[in-house]
Amino acid sequence: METMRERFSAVTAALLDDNPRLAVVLADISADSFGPAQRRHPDRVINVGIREQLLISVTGGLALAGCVPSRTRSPASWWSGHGSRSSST
Amino acid sequence: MTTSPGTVTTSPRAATSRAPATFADLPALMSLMTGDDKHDQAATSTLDVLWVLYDRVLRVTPETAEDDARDRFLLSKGHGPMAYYAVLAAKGFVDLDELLEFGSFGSKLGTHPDHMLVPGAEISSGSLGHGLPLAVGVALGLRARGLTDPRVFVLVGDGELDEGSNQEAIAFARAARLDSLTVVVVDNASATHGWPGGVEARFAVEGWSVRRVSGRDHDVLEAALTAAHPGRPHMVAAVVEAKR
Repeated sequence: METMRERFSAVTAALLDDNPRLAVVLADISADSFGPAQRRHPDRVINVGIREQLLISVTGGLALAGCVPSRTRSPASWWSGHGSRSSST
Repeated sequence: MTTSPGTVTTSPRAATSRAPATFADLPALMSLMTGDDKHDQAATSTLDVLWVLYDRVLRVTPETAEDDARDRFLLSKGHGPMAYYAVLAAKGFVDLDELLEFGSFGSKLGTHPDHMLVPGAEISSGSLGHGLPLAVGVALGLRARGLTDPRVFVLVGDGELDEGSNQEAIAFARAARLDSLTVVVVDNASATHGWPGGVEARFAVEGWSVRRVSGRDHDVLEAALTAAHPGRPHMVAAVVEAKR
């Protein structure tokens, strides 16, 4: 069975190939699964480390610069707020 | 050359009719803005830095304010924006008449800048601790789009750096080698518990290029703000009078 994380990574990696304005911000979560995408798009797959305040602001800054940001978030916010239907915004 | 906002002999109204405005006009422009929530000290602490940025450093004009290639300036220290509005008016981003409406119901010029309303304002600010991490994102976004010419400047206060969000940004910006990013910290010694070794020490330990200069000397400020810093972000501590 494909997990939610695998599905998110695969779909987002494909979208990165298709849309040059898309950028993904990671706070370590799922960073390994984005390895191939990061090698193809080193400036658009951004792992800020475990800095989740920064993750939110960086997505805002990316949008101000004309990018379309996507980000991962912690399992706690997945589970408490959004069930298992979505892993990104 | 040391300059300071001296007393001007013209009336505020007269200042609005002169063009182009100079640094000496700014106090008169600021005096057009009245109200009981002006944060005067915060406003005057940033005046010289803002002027030097818009007069000598930033590659942005009212005509290029939407261009991808423009330099970005983010005012993080958004409380007390009178100096910001005065400089934007002096440089033609904001209508001079709008200054008279500062802080009033329906005015574009609120006591915290709203980037949806204020021409030339890159972000809304006033809630502290957001400008620097947003600027990191802007610099990353410009890089991601292949825009290598625009520079990103952000003005923060030394007290504002107490906000933890800044610490995440300071650490990551060096790791990301964001050499398009310059942070100018207007240091009026307002951090409640101080910065041992100076506020620039916090940046230097993360590998930033740092300078500590007078926040009132225009030539020195210009040199510091335009200093080369290849491969790493740049921080300028602009020291002004201590907040009373």
